Amino acid sequence: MPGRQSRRSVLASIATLPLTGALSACSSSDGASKSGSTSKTSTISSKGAKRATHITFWSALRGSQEVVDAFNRTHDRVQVDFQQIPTGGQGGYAKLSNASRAGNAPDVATIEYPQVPGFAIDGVARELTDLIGDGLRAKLLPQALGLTTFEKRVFSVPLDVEPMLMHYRTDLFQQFDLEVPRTWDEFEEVARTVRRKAPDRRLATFATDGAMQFAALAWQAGAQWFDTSDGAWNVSLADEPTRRVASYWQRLIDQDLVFMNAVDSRQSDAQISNGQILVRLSGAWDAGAQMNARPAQKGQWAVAPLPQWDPANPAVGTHGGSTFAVTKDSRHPEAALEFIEWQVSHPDALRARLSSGSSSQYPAAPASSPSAARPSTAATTAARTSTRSSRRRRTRSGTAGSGDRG
Amino acid sequence: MTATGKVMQDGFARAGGGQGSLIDAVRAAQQGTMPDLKALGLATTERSD
Repeated sequence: MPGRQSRRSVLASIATLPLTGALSACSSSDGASKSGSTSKTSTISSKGAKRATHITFWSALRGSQEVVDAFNRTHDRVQVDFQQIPTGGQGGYAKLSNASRAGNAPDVATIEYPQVPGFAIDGVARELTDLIGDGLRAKLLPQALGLTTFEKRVFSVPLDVEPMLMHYRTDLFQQFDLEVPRTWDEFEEVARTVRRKAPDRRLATFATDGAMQFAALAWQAGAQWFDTSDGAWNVSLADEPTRRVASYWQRLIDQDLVFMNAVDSRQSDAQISNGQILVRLSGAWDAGAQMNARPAQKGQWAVAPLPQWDPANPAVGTHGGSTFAVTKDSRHPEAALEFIEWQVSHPDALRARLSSGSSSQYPAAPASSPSAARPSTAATTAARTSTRSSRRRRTRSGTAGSGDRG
Repeated sequence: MTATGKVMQDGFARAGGGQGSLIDAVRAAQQGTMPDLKALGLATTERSD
């Protein structure tokens, strides 16, 4: 049984990360909270499965059922009983905490990056340091694993790291003869053009409920909100890069070049559905969310790199991402980790998740993607504030339905 | 970070209603975060550069 972690030690160690909070945007299922389904795998009757070790798995991530089905088809010794649960913000984390308090948490649970320290402190997430072999460590981007490692102690295994992207409406860009902006200056000009040509539309929305989105934007600009390198918590939420980002968006707001409202709202849904919004700035996961939420817009969205402050020194923040924890209640931690390792690193797992047609995860284990023999630039920067990239890509994705499939 | 985000979003919403600015929101988040950290017994410092 893992001991409870020192709140001070865990909190102190997470402060070495630039902006952990930027990762909190959900890469979870829009429809997860409506499902509540239990996997058919719990009734497997094959001879081999009866002898197998059964583990339980809770997740709100899109495509999890497909992943579990693929795992169970190809494994005899371990079988997974899956339960789709609500997203963390809609009760999934409370459910996990309550189950842990009652001593019946699942063997494996999905936890987003910002919540990992809390679940480690509370003793829900079991320490995995000695369970994770060198093979799995080698498969994962070290920056991603660093986000779940505190004082050299690993508490969960990263599934994905989500660079913030610019999702844009190709049809509307074509209709209004717009160039995809590569810099924030260009972004402002395009916003001005959109307002002039289509007064009822705006290029984008500044999300009043988007602290995590703002964190990712500030991260890109070089902000580092928390730092403990001097032995104390140095807090700088209003540092120069953050103020620069705030001033930029304030200018767009003051000139009425962007909408300003909550994005988790019916108003925002209507803006997207009606084509009043041409751009969404969010993690790669959002393409899958849009595919799920707005199938009628299939083929109308593409993704491009986030506009840059300094094209000579491109940078990106991350916006979203999830990990898998083995809970303290697990009676089969080795089997649980075997499932986790397959889920985060095997190409068949990625294929299965993407086959759901509603996931666009960006893997933390690059080799799991058949087309990604090497870590991509975007993923490599996930836990850093900047990187260099000499190449810009425009990848058709989102509701195109296949562009984000590795 | 959760409390920090809430303070920031409250500030964004106020700015959206014409009361304050985005910079006011991030400064409020800064001020709102410090007491939480101190309440946890953590040594804290502030930086604005």
